[in-house]
Amino acid sequence: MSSTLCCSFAKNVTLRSSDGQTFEVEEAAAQVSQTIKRMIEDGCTGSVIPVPNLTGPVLALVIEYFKKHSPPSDGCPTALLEMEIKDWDAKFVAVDNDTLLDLTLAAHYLEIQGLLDLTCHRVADILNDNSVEKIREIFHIKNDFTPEEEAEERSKIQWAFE
Amino acid sequence: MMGMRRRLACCTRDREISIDFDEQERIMTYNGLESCILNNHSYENESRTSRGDECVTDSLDDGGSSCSSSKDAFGSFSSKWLTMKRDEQSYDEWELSESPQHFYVNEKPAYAIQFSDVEAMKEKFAKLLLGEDVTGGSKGQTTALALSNGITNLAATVFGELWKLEPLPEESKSKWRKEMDWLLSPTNYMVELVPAKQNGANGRTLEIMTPKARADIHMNLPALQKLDSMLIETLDSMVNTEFWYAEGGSRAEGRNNSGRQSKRWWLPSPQVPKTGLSDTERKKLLHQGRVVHQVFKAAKSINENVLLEMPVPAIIKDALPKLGKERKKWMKSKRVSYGVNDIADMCRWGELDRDLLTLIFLRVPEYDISRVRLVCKSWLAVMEDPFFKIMIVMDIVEKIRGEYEDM
Repeated sequence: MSSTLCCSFAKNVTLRSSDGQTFEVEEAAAQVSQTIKRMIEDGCTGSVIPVPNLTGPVLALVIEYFKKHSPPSDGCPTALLEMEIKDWDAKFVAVDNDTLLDLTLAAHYLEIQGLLDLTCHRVADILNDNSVEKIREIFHIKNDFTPEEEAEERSKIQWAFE
Repeated sequence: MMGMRRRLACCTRDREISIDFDEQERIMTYNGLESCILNNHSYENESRTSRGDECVTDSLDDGGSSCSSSKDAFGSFSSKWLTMKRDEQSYDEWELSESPQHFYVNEKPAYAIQFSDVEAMKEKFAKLLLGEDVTGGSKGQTTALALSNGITNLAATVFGELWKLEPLPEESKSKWRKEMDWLLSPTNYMVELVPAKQNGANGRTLEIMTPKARADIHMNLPALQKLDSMLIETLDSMVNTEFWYAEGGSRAEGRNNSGRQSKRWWLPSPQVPKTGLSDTERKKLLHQGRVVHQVFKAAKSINENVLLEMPVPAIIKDALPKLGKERKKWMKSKRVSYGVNDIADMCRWGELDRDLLTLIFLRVPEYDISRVRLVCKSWLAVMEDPFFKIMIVMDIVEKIRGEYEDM
């Protein structure tokens, strides 16, 4: 509690990516991440907060998300605002697959529940809409089944390919 | 039984129906079962006394007379509810039987009621009400669970050995319809009481409670009945097919030829003509396949919705954090043994954290998830986890918990 109080003076925190880029962001916004929130509560605010798992461009994206999702300073979010955020979210994750993976990992590492939901949902949609071969192509996954193993697995679930 | 279903439909359609209940009828839920048993009981006494020195088998063999007398028994059963309300002003409204809401409207009761049916029904309901506890002590199941088990068992008897696409034997079909009618009859009495206004004799307005079919039953049961009849129709349409089944085919083959046996040797193996199926047959089968898939999807979504509407028992809520911890421990211990051998070959998506993959896969509908298994071995391993299945259930439960906490 005391740390939160002392932090109210220092409104901004600085985050540093794995490649040494630094970003200043409002503390309230950064607390969208449970991981960062814990770090702030543990008193790491004095110095720069290192985010070693994220590269600069990814961290920049995540901070964009923070800003959009920081709790509004005045009262409850309106329904209109929520709609707008939903739209914004949909556009935010309509990215190439490498970025999508980066965002998923970032959301997992930084414990950003909303972003994790968003990215997982997006990946699930891709899995839904594509054939097995296409999925491997999209995500650059090597098929490590032998032809026999694949045929056997396939025969177990033949009905799903109709 | 059909009559009661109609009444249920009317009851739901016309919300202005007002019926005043006597005190003892206020608890509606299992009235059906009770009166059912009561009536059987009285019927039993009747037949005992009237039978005199005749023996039971005589009345069984004598199809005509036993049939009609047991119909009487049923008549009195289903009319009992009516007689209770006969004096009420709204009686007429219960007679609105030609409503488009019941799906069996075009089907006459597909079975004739036999004396033996009444015996069977008595036995069934006795077992249901007592659960496994034949002493009638306190260890019996809850009624809802008993009914659910009853339906599961019935489905297993009728469909459990169904391995071929062919019409159900008449006997099974009528058993299914008949016994489902029995088992579903309590739902006709599961109502919610809603307040309504009634004009009293001397111009006063009275606040009374009127029964209304419970919302979930009203919403889901007709749909499920429709799906049921669609499935049976699909099976019924499988006559004069161009494919057939090798008699004893792969069963025998599987046992003899243990080297190359298929894992499902108990399934009869379908055969098609050398020239393949004709276009029309192929189209027909594809169409039926789609119909069945739709039925599956609809049933699944009804099931999920019902699950989500159910209150989570406290015991599960309490156990959740513990389960979560156990799972994490388990995941960690397994991660090593499932480790990808050749990480260099795998791309980043393939070697994704198991927890993350689980989160993603939980969002893929079950129907598509089986396809996704084939992408690569590490993905398959995640889905083969027994914990993945538990997670699916936990996911639903947690969703519900979330909704609880929002309230």
